[in-house]
Amino acid sequence: MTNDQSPRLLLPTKLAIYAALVVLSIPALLPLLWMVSTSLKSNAQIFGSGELTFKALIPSPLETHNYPAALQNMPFLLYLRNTLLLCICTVVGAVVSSAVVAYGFAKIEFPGRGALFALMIATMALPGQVTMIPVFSLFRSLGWYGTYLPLIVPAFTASAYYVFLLTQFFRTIPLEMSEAARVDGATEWTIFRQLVLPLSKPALATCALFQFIGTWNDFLGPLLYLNDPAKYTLAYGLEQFVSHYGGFFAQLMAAATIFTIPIIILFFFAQKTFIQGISTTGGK
Amino acid sequence: MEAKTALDSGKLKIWLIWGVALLITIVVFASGHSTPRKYPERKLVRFWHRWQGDWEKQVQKIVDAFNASQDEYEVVPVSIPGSGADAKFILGVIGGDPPDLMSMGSGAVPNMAANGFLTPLDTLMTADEKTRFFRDSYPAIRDIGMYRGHCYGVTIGADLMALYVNDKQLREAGLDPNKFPKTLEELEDWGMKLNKYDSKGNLTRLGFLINDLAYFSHYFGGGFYVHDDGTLELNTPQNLRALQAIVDYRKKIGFENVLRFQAGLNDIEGAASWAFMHGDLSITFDGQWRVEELRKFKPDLEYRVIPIPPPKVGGTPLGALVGGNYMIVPISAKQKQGAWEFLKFWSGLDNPDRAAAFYNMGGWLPYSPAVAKSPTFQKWLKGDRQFQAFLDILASPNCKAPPPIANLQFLSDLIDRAEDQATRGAETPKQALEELETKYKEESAKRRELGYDE
Amino acid sequence: MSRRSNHKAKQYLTGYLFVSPWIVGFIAFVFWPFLQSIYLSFTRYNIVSPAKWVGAANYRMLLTQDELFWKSAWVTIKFAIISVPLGIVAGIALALLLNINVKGITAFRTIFYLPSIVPTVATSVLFIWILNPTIGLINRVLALAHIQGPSWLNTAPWAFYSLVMMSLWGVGGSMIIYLAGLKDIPVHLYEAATIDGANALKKMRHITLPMMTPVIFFNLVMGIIGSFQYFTQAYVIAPNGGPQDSTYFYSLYLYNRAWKYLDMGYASAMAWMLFLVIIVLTGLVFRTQKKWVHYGG
Repeated sequence: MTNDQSPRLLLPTKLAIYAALVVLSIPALLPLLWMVSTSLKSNAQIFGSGELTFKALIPSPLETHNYPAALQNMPFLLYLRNTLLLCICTVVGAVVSSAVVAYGFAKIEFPGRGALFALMIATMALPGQVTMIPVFSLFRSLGWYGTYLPLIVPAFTASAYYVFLLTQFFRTIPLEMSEAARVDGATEWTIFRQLVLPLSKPALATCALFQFIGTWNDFLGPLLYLNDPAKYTLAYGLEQFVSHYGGFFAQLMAAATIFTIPIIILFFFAQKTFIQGISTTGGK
Repeated sequence: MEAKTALDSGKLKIWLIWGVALLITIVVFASGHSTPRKYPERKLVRFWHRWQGDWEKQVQKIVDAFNASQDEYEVVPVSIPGSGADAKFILGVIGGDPPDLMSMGSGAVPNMAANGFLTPLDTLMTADEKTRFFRDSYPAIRDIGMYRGHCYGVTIGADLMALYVNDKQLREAGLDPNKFPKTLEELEDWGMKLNKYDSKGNLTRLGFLINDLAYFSHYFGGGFYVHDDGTLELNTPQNLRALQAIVDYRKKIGFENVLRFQAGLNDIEGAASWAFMHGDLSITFDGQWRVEELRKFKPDLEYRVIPIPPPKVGGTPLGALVGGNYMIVPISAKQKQGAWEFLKFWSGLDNPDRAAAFYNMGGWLPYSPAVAKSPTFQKWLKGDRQFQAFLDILASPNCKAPPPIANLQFLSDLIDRAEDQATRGAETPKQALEELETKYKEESAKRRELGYDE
Repeated sequence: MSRRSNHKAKQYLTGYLFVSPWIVGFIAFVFWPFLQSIYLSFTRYNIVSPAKWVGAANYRMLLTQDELFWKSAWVTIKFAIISVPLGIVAGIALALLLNINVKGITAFRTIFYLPSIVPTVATSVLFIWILNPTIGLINRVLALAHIQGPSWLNTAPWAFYSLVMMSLWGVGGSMIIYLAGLKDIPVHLYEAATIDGANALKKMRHITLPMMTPVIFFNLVMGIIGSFQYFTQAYVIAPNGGPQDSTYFYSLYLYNRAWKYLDMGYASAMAWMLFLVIIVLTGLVFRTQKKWVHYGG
């Protein structure tokens, strides 16, 4: 049983809801629609100083050649493979490590907990521009320059953002439950694994999604740490398309669309985890 | 008891997942799979540049030609996308893993040279090469890479600006492009005649517009300089006249009108969006790379390129400010000699005719008259006659290089800001330039206090 | 006695063990760079040559001789004051709307998240298009009401408000988090309320919102931290600070100082001043936690 508001709605309410959804969808859809429609236009239509009405969103004539062209101008499969590998590793690393750390902060009392938590939040308050050079030097002295290591290993050491988020979720789980389990002789790890994690699926799924998208879109990391074209990622490839001297604007939009579609699909299907979030194990 | 084994298997699973992921991390990705080299036995010369798309392909052709022409070095080019390029270049050098040759924008070079970041190229030249290089190059091209007596950068991709004139639109308005105005004031008159408005009074076509004070000031005998001894040439009468001319002309059209029109140009990055190409501008001020673009994207456009006519009073004809991409060699590069050999090859120091083909590929300006006069270049010029105007400007004594100061980027931003304030009517030209000079002096004082040289 | 302290010790140790991945990461990847950055803020450092100690000179100059410091700080504060509350309200409202289980809601959820995943290169061009003063969408709508819309992106203060508008497009991210939070609210609370005869509005006030406070708190803190460091869109639309510096955000000025003028020492000082401000604000928000955030079921 889910906890959505009562599924049996009166028709007028339903219509009002749909109306609101549709109206609000228009600005939300605009970026994607515009991107896709531009990718299907000819250059002449894009830049001819025409009217910028909704009609302008319809490509005429319809040109699909930008897509194969975009795919040809970038080693798409190679970049896709690299990106997927990076994404999977960082998602696993980030979610697992952040969940573990968040449990420690949320559910176990130990001296210095507050201070450490504050310190962790504080690390998000410094703009990354000024630590870029020291961090780069650090990775260089470790010998990780030119490899994927700077892009993956930090994910395994828990990110402040996810830890903070998960802490908030874990703290909503009633103390009585974990207390009861402790009395029964369960270890913290057991409580974590068997009790807290299953109850936090929506939050964990959210973290996984964000991390996936973050790694997918990360351009700066590959730019700074990779030198070998065989290791580049899709985000890097897309950036290479953004050129000051080209006239291939439609092709750029085609590349951008190709870049975005997998994420949309991922999100659409990942939603199920949000919905079935509430555990069927009793208590709640 | 059952619960315990169930727990263990759960625990095991988590550790397994984490362990496997970590394993993949360390084993698979720590090892590299690199792109194989074509000539592995040769000395490697790493070349980083910022050209993308089509232009990257041109660069690759030039690199291939060089590699095929000798057997000591192999140049491997890497194209770095624009937005992070500066950071990557810098980090590459301070990280101890620099490329051997880099292309860098004009603004950053004096600063790097001042701090010992770059190899003086004249130390890589033989005595004979040095003589020839300094004798043969266009003065402005030779001067741009200079800092305190040494040459740090050679520009293969110099940029110059001139007027692009839409002949057809001129004739439609009753103006004869063959009798083009000889003074700036007449040009402004023509510009006003070419403006078109819609029913609400908004501009739909702009006849003529100048922006870029730093460049334009050279037509008034001015220019923004900071000399080695610290004297400033910023708030000068010539620069003031230049800015005044820009502002007065805008006032005639209306500040607000111009702003609205500029925002509405839809002038997104990229050649195909250029407003001149679409007839939104009749006469405009733009760079030499547009010639190639026009040939590619709108070959039927009737146009011509003319140097801007100087003002009646105090004008210097064929004035210009050269900018562009410099080729530099980091001080810690490993293969400096190879970098210089490649640079020599590309620029045409030894073989102007062969190099002419390279310049033509990108529509770039040649480094010396020798290249411009070579048969290959002349042949290309026949197909792109408009380019001649730029060559004329390049050869003029009024074509200058930007001041070689470490804080050039800051100065450029101040000039832009002064121009912006004045052209939207927020400040008078006099106020804007005074503010520019004051702000620059303040910044210089701060820098000196912190211990910078300038 | 000893058994009890033994138990406590074991608990503390377990706590540290759980938190250890972060501690390891902090020591390995964060601590040293942070220290270096503080050090650099007390030096003259232009990246290409070694840093030289200048004491508090950077800080002094920032506070007393830099007009742009105050200007950019003000732009950023204005932005935070407007966009953070706006984002929270919009995020919650959207999440509530998208939590209703009508047919096709999954598609709508995807739609509302879309703007956050379309690449910046496409969205920036899109906005330039929409905000075109003569033929762009927004001004055309305004024209229907006989208002002549301004030239959005190159006039002050409209450029600033354009950026505020654009930031709303990114509300999808926080909306997801609110959705997850909504899913977490125990059903039996609603059931009990229905039995008690509460209507939708009462349920919202007494169940939904209080149960959401942990997540709201999260988004508030992250909103503050994020808006004070707002940079990307401003950089894309107007890297030089916009018309009359009206969109010269603090982080943009920092970036220019660091990478354009190669004045890294000065930029580091800027960063640490920003750090202090964010810490103080965040600390204040944390202090208020007990008053309005509701944990523990």
